[in-house]
Formats: sequence, structure tokens, C-alpha cells
Amino acid sequence: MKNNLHVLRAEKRLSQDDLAKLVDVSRQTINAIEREKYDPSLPLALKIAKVFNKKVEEIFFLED
Amino acid sequence: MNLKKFFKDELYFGIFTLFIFSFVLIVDEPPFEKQWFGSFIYLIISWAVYYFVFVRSVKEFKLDERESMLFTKTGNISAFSFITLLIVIFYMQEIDASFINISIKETWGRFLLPLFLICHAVTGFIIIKREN
Repeated sequence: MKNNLHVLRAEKRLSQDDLAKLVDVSRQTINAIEREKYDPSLPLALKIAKVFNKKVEEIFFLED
Repeated sequence: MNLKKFFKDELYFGIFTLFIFSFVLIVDEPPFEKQWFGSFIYLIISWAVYYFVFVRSVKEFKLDERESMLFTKTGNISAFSFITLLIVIFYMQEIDASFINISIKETWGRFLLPLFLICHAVTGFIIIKREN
């Protein structure tokens, strides 16, 4: 699964650590999601979407 | 929320218990009249260690979903490597280790818990390194 979390985070000027604290996970988990090494669960994806005020599918999408 | 720190603590603790159990073994026979009582004490110590490391510590470290997944994966892989280790020890138990005045056959059972902790921690480090 691909995502544009890195771009959104840069736009909002949030560090990985800031985002991690907002969604209650470790910084390493945010890093793993950004590098597409880990696919978040639905609750975590929803939490991330809420932080950026976007829909889940606008952040996470399947590779064609 | 730091799995690496958890495995580091676990490794130190595993080595510490290994030294403690070795020390008891080297210093003397267990200071108990009856062997079953000594074994019972070892069992209690092992349960206590297991409880503090795997039940209490895991709760205190508050692992997130990815870390929990890695922790479970570590458990599965370390169980396999631990069983392999036990088989190796089982076939090595007849080896003459008289130079250290200790019979592997009679003593290896005491080191199961520290060996498992070390095995689990090392497996954890390898998995974290691979995931990163």
C-alpha cells in the first residue's frame, strides 16, 4: 500500500515524533509507514486521517 | 514505546540471571535438604522472572500495534530457535565437561529461563534490524 504521509506531514510542518504523539504510536512506526514497510491498521489510518483532516483514501491508496 | 530498549533490558536481565544461577551452582550444592524443594524454589523464581519480564514489563512499555506485531513475531521465531538450542544441548549433554567440574546433564535444566531470555532478546534485535 502506498501513501503520501511524508508530503502531508511536511505541509503541516509536523515532525515524525509530533505525529507519533498525536496518534499515540512510536516514532519508528510512523517512519515504517512512510517508508511503506508497514501498513497501519484501520483505526490507526483513521486517526492519521483525522490529524490531517482528510479521508483515509486520500492518504493511503493501493498501487496499480 | 521502545521495543529496542525492552530487548536490551531483557538481554541484560537474561545475562544477570545466567550469572546468578551459575553462581549458585558453582558455590555449592543447593542449600536445601530435599531436592524437590530446591527445584520448587527455582520454579518460583523462573515464574516470577517470566511474569515481570513478559507480563508486567510489556504492559509498562505500552507497545503500539506495529511493536506488538514485532513482539509476537519475535516470540514465534525465538520459540523455534529455543527448541533448536534445546535439541543441541540434549545431544551435547553426555559430553565430558569435567574440567569445569560440572555435569551438563545434571545442570542444564536450571539455565532454561536465562537461555530463553537471551534467545528472545537476540531474536528481537535481529528482527528489529531486519524491519528497519
